[in-house]
Amino acid sequence: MTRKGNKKYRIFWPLFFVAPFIIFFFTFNLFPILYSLRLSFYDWSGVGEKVFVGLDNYIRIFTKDATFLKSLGNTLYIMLLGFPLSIFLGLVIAAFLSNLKKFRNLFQTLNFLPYITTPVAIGLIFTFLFDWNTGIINRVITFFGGEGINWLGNARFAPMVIGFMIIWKCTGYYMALYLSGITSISSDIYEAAKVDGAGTVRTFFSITVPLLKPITIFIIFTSLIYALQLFDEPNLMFNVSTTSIIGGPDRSCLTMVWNFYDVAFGSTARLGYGSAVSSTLFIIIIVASLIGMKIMNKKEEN
Amino acid sequence: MKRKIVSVLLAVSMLAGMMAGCGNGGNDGNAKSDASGEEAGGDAADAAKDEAGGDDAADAAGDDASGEEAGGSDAEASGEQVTITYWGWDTNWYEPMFAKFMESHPNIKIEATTVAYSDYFTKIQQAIASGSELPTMVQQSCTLIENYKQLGVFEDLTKDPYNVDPNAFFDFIKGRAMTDDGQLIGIEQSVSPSAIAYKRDLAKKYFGTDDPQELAEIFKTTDDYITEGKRVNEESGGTDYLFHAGGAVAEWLYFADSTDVQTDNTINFTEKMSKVMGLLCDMRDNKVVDTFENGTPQANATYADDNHLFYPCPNWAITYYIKSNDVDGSGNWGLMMPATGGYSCGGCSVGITNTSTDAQKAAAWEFINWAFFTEEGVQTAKEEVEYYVPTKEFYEDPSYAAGADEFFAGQDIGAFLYGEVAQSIVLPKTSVWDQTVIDIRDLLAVAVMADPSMTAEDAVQKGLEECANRITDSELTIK
Amino acid sequence: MRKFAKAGSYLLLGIISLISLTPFYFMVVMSTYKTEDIFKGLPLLPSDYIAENIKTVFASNFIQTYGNSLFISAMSMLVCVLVSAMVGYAMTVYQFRFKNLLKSFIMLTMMAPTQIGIIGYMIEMRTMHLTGTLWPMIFLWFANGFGAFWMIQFIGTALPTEIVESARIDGAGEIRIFSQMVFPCIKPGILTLCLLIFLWSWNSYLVPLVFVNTEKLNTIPIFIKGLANAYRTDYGAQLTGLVFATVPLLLMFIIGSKNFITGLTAGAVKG
Repeated sequence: MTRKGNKKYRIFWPLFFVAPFIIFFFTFNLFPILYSLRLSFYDWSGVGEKVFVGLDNYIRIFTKDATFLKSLGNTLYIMLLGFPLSIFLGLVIAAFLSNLKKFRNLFQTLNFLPYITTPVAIGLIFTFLFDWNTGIINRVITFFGGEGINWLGNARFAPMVIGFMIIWKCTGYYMALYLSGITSISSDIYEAAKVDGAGTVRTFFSITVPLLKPITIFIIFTSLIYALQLFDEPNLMFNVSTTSIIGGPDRSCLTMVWNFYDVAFGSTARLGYGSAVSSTLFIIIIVASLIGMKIMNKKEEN
Repeated sequence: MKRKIVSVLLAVSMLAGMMAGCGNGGNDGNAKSDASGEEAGGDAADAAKDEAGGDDAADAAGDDASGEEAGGSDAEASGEQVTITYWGWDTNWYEPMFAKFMESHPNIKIEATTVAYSDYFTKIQQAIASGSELPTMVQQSCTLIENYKQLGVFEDLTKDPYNVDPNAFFDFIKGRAMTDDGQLIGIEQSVSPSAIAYKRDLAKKYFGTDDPQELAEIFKTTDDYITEGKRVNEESGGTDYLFHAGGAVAEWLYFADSTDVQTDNTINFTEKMSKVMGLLCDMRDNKVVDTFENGTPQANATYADDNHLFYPCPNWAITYYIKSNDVDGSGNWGLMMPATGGYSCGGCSVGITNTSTDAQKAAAWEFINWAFFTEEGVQTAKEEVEYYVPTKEFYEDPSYAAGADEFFAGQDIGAFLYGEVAQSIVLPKTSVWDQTVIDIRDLLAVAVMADPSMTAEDAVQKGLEECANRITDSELTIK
Repeated sequence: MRKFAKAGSYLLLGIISLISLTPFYFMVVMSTYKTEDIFKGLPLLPSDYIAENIKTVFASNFIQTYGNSLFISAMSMLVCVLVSAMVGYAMTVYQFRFKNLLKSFIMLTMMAPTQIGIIGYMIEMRTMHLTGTLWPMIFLWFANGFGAFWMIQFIGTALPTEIVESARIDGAGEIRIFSQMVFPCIKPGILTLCLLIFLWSWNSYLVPLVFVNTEKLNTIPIFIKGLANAYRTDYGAQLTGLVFATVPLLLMFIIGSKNFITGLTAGAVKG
């Protein structure tokens, strides 16, 4: 290759193909975040003058605003309630499904449906299912002689409902991913395991699970992103009436993004403070994912 | 197969492009026809003479907005076709009012957008911050009125060309939408007198009477609700309750309490909330109040059932809640004086945004003037919505505040709400933190109903913590 | 024994599918009810109010809402997929400085929720005089961290670089190679990403919540939430609207499900 060609393939064309992404990313994603960062040093309600307050907003976040920390905790809690079980179930169902020939596609498609449903619908349908007095779940419980549970009004149960919602929504998606992973595992390996006398359970844990690791990592990664952005479903579930409570009962379902939205645009618009909240979240998320990436890389090296 | 899907996707997206293209064209056209409307309205004579200007505007509207263009030429013909916008959640009020108004004012078109109550103030603030167009007329909830005053986007209605005299309104309400320096940012839709609505058949069953006077005699103190409510629940075998939702009871007790939320630099949370939560806890413990969550569709469905007797009822709830939820309940409702006395709950005012064009402002004022100061508008509000305006002069005719309502078995709702209840209302001072405290009240009401072991003291304590989190003004002390 | 296990598997899967489907079932059934009747009993069987509900839905400007949502999703999808594929191509085919840095950077962009920059974004859109249009709801999708990451993975596995090199020797320009030779190779990946971006932007809620200020800009989720407030919560109509909103996605996924899932795993396997 000539030197000129070299340069062309090393600088011009890569730049050409990467440029749109970079340009769009800086204009529409990064710039707003940086602008928010600047705004976070001001007190501003969106109208009138911005007042420079230095680090006041940040000091408030960590010393006075218990809601902020609570929303972090809630997000983590809901994440733990929903995702591990959902991923595990996805894997197990996929393992079952991989043995079947008939109806496989049907099952796959059916279980994929929840993933594509609009969150508005999910929020709405779940309020029907879980209402204390008229909800279908409680009607079933009372039909069998039990006592109806205040799912949506009790701070203990409300995050569980959200967790269940996540399981309901994501399991099929994860299953689909795992299933095609399992299919791509060569059947020779299983035959060999059978010859060695390994039982189904053992084969599952010592062959299937390790070989599916790349998919598991992918799933964990994407579900983390999903969890950190959680807003639509809880908001739509607890924001149905005129007197609805921000964050659900006792703010137990107030996620990070919901808290941010409420701080920035709720009954008291505080765009400056809201920006500080969002910047803090941004930093937390970046640091967390850097650590996550480090750990993942290390494990892969091992 | 793959190819098929890709081509379907492409076709869909092209179709979408076309559809949305039309939509966008429409938007542009609208914005521009507004502009031409401004020209026309701002200086009608000029616009009519100066055809070149009109043509420019029409040209600018572009080819794709031919519909709008036609509208534009209409405007030139009639002189001042104006479109104004309104955001509101109160469909019960604005739908009949706008329809009637536009009948008699064909030159003004009001485009209403329904915005959920819980999103409303947020949307206004977002529109201001994002530089989007504000509606010409804004519905200002009374619980956020101090916040609206701070926005600085409303016309002062006491000034030219509106020249509203605040003394035209009832004394107790005239200052609510007025800033400290005397600007009037909106006019109250009605005075929101509130009482307790009841189902007549159930009242007869349990109390032997459905007469509002006699019932008020039975419920003279708040303790009477406890004893009678307990009896109702026991006699029914646990299925019937006096009230349906803790939130509704808390709202009533809260608004019936005349303590100011804020005095100088103090938020009087404990004082305001202790009684409310105390009574609510008593009611919960004695099964006086059922466990529905106020305002949810499930709770609204109880208006039509046979298990819940009493509903705290502001005037607006008659159409907004009772008549719309209990469609077949005509004749079975009554309205009685609560033991707390009459009170004022909710309500809102309507203001004009100063970001609107002059023509829009004029048209909006035309509507407001019609709705609150003319016989036709005031009668429409009375007949269609049972809203009685706060304008004093109409009450000089005694037949105004009188109106038997068949839905309420012929009871004279007008005379009761406006003759009796409204006269005794004392409105607490408004605060920028009103809505915040109300949000906390709702949170506590739900918590109290969800957890039978929670006492009033626990609730207030929790409320104080919430206040500390949510009331960000560090100069305030929260008591 | 084996047969028994198989029957058990089917039963288990049947139950799980049932759980997946139950909410759908209620959505469809309840959409045939009058709102007042929904709460009166257990709505197990369809009622006869569907025509009225459809009327309510279409009486409001549902057609335009639909058009808006289609436009937003289609535009977001087209640009995002193209931009992502370009990045994926560059990362696979070229060797250049900062390549690894760029890759880590893209991984990071995946993690940061775009919603948290919304205050700045709002003000940016105001400065660009774009509030009051549909564009603010579209631009955010152009540079999607997930899309880029995913295309990098996919093209990395699916595209044999020899093709590119031999094409170069034949004298084909880079753009021609990309559009005519590479694109066909990565079609399953493209298709999958198309479906995902379409799905996500179609269901997007928070950004429209901020930017939709008039009915002309309504998107489907915002529209359906708005139905909750017309006079009373018209749940019947809301659910009917939801059925209409879900159907196109459903069809897309049922038609595309096989390719979609293949593409999805191909991208994920390399992880």
